[in-house]
Amino acid sequence: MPNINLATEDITKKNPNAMGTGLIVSIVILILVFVLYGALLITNRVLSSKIEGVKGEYDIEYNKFLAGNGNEIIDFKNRSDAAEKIIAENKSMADVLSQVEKSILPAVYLTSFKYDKSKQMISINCIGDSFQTVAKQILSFKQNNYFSGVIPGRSSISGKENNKISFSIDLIIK
Amino acid sequence: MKVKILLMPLIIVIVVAISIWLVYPTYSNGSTGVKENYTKFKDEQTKLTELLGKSENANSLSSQISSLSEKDVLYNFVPVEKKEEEIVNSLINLASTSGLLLFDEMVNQPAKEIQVVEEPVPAPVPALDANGVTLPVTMSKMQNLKTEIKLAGSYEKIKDFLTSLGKLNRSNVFETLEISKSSSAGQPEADSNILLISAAVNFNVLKNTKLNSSNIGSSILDSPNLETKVISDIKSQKNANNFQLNIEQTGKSNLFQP
Repeated sequence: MPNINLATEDITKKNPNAMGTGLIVSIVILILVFVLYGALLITNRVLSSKIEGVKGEYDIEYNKFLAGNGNEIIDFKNRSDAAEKIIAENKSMADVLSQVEKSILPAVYLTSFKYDKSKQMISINCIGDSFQTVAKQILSFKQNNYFSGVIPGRSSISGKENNKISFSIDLIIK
Repeated sequence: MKVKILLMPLIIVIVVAISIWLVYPTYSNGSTGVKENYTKFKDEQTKLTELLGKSENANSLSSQISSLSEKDVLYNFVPVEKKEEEIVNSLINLASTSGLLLFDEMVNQPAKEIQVVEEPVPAPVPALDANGVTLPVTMSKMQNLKTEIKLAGSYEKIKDFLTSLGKLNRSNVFETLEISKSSSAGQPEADSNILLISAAVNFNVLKNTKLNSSNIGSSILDSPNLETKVISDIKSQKNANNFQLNIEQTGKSNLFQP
């Protein structure tokens, strides 16, 4: 049986070259991957040693800082904060009395005054000449913006105070 | 020839395998990869830079505090020591100056002494617990010396006393104040102008705070400038005049006068 060559050109030379190029590229890529791996390992080691170095420097600086003059500064800050809190929260008793004085009617006087910081409340017992005065006194306290609440208590005629009206009021401070 | 054909895909498989099992884990494995270590390195550098900045600020702040002439205003307002003897002496003097009779006084010790624990071995900042949660800033807590006083005198003198007490260098906060007519407190009937005062006043004391790992992050160290507004606030509070009464339709200067 005779051999018949159907190929129109010579392909036997090209195929080995293409395969060879691909192989070379593959090998180069493989080498590059190894190089990359090695570079990453080295970089990681360098980074680790740098981290240790920075940590060591930090510890030295930290200990120097703690041993330095920080105590005085922190104490000043803490004391300033405490003072600010006291100033913000503290009600001057002179001011509290002054506010009651401003709102008291001329026909009314006190028999007792009680201030309680925890409740932010003033409890007063008063003597007035009539029940109408009691009502006016309650209104007068309500018109004072220093107080957020005015709670009237019992009002009654007092034999001890020449049959005047004895009444109590609780005042809530804002 | 057949082996040569298989070599290229084999190499590609090897490349992929190495990339997956060696290269990428070296780059990033969640804890010790190059990527994580780089982040750690940057974080450590940032921490160090911040610490150096704080250290620089601390030097500036320290020199400002040292040269602050009105520092005593703050340290008298909230003292380090209890100084019970000064409290008693101040109360006696103020009562005497105002013309009041101080007939009972007691300075109570704080309910619980707060120990300021110094750390023998400072820990690096930030202060973290075992779970990596940032610990709260710990500072010395203020204590109260609750002082109970009883006085007797006229209303005008009581106002003088309260005003003077408000201007005292040391902070004092009234917890309770009771003013009543002497006859209503079970006392023998006396001059109707005489009132009895019973008060509980808190005098504050604040132990020194030490710099440690938990408070090193305090905001004061973030700036080189010392904030001294509180000193002027204390001074303005001491200078306030609380009794400025304009008597119109309402108002009277003596609440207990009929």
